[in-house]
Amino acid sequence: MVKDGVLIILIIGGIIATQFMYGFLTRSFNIVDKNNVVSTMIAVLLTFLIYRTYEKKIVSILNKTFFRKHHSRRIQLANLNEDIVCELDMERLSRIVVDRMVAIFDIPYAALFVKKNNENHFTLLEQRGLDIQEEQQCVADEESIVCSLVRRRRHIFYKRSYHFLSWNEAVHVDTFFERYSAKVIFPFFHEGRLLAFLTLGYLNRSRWLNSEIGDSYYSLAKHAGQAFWNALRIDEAETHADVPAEQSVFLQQLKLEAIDKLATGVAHEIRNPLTIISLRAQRLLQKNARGTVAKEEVDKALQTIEQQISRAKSITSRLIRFAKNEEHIQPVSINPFVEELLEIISYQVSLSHINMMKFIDPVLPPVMAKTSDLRELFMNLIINAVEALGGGGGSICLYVRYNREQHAVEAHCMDNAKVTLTDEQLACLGDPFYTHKETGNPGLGLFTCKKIVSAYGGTIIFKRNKPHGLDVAVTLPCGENTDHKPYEQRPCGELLAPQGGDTERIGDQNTEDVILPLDIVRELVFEKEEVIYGTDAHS
Amino acid sequence: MARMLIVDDENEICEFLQEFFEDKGYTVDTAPTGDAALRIVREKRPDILLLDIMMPGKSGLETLKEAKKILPTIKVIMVSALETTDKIETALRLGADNYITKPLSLEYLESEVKAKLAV
Repeated sequence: MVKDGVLIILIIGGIIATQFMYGFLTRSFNIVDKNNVVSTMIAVLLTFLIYRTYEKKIVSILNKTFFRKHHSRRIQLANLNEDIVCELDMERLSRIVVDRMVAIFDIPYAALFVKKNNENHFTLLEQRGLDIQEEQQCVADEESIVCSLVRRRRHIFYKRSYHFLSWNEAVHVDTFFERYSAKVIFPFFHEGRLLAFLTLGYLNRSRWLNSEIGDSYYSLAKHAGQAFWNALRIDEAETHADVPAEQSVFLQQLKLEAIDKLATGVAHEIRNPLTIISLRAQRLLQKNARGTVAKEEVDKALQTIEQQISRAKSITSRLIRFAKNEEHIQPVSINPFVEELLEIISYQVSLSHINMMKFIDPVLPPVMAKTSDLRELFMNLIINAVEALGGGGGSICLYVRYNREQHAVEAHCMDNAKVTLTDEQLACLGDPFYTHKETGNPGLGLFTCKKIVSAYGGTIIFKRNKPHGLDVAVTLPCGENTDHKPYEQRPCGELLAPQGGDTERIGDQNTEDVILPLDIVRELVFEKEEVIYGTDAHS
Repeated sequence: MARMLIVDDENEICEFLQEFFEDKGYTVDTAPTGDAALRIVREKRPDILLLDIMMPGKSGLETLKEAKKILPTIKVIMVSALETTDKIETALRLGADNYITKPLSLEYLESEVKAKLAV
């Protein structure tokens, strides 16, 4: 519609302009073209060619200039699309959908109905502008004519979309529309199943059906259907204890997976010093009972016990510091935060035969965030990489630097898992419940990362690592008042090398570079390792 | 007297147990990793193996499996900081003779070693 209008306007404008030019030329060179046929044809042809070449730019400029409201609604619908995809909480999801639709279309009345899995009716979850009594809330029976109608259509307009119904049925539908002051009903489907529907008041039918807003909305409805499906699954598992174990297991995994990884490593780390203390004490008691204990042995045992107590204390202190939940947004220094995380999980990672390396800019500006969110983000990035490697060994590299252009901290979590993801798989990463791994995990790790990053206005990009594996690139904006120290103010060569496993330090200690470029790191960590693997394989 | 191999990535534990069992008359070797342990099993053919489960590199369970292939008669007592049922079951299925969790009781450990060697 818009494109056709633009084309007509351009052709008319083009004809006028070409006529003017042609008139000037014929006068200058005394050429006769009485009927202006040639000039008109040239004008049409030229205008068409120009339009085809710059179609997108022209449409975009005209949209912004002459169809601003229309354009703005499409953008708002697209934004809403992005916002709801990451929402798993049913109440918040419903509130977002209703509030934003009311605001976008400037509608006084709206109501959202959702059918929960074990119910046989659609319940009113959110409404705006309506005066509804309590007893009217569980309104739409699944078998009712309204639901049956909604199930078959992409939209139902008041008194328009149900001519084929009997008089009684039509009255029933009319009553429903009138009760909720609705002019249109929009359904939300997932895989052909009606999950929810939205009633809106006073929407202009002809403008809706003939505009591109309709297309934008139907794209939104598709994503909203997926979002309602995800939220319903979460809701079901959270509220009903009698759901089958396999359906609720993903929730427990989501909450306990990170704790489990930590707890295993920490239990091992603490039990070892306890074992040493216990062995020394038992030995002393045995010898003391026999009266054969020597003073030197007592001294040595007490010294060992003291050392091991300090060791256990430092592990617990680290864990308490790390696990501390700061539930308000504050400037968080990424370096000590990531260092502690890696210290805590390094043992667990090494048990999977994985070489963990880190390249971290030593003076990163702080990020404005909740520590609990950052912990969840980095834990999930590393757990995802560990699971991708599947216990068969390999390398994980955490690369963190300052991104000057975006004034953001940029983190890359790279692995060299022997799996090459297809474009479709890459596009699905970060979607809720999507996983290409056979770990039995729910596929919420990268989704959680995506959600956290987007909450702070950052970005997350999934790319294939070279030569294989995955590179998850995350940016987290730094606070407005935070500054990044220029290179010359930093200690030279403070961090040029991986600080994990048995890897050697790389780079010149005297150079002013603070962190190696990402491509070089990738080459050093993964491509070099590939050659070593190749040699082993042939030998 | 019997020959014993103690495998643990915690050097302090290896040293202590070596000293303890040498006092009791055993010939004791120690190894910090699974690979090192397997080399000793091949070369010195110990009678009993005290094997930690959680070790960097080759895990205790993998080491157990290979040690049993090299020397099927070897007695193996698994020692671990973890008490997870799946690990215990796997270890016993792979041929471990017992599974002891840390912190260790010296008295119990000694009696278990004696009992397994007497069989």
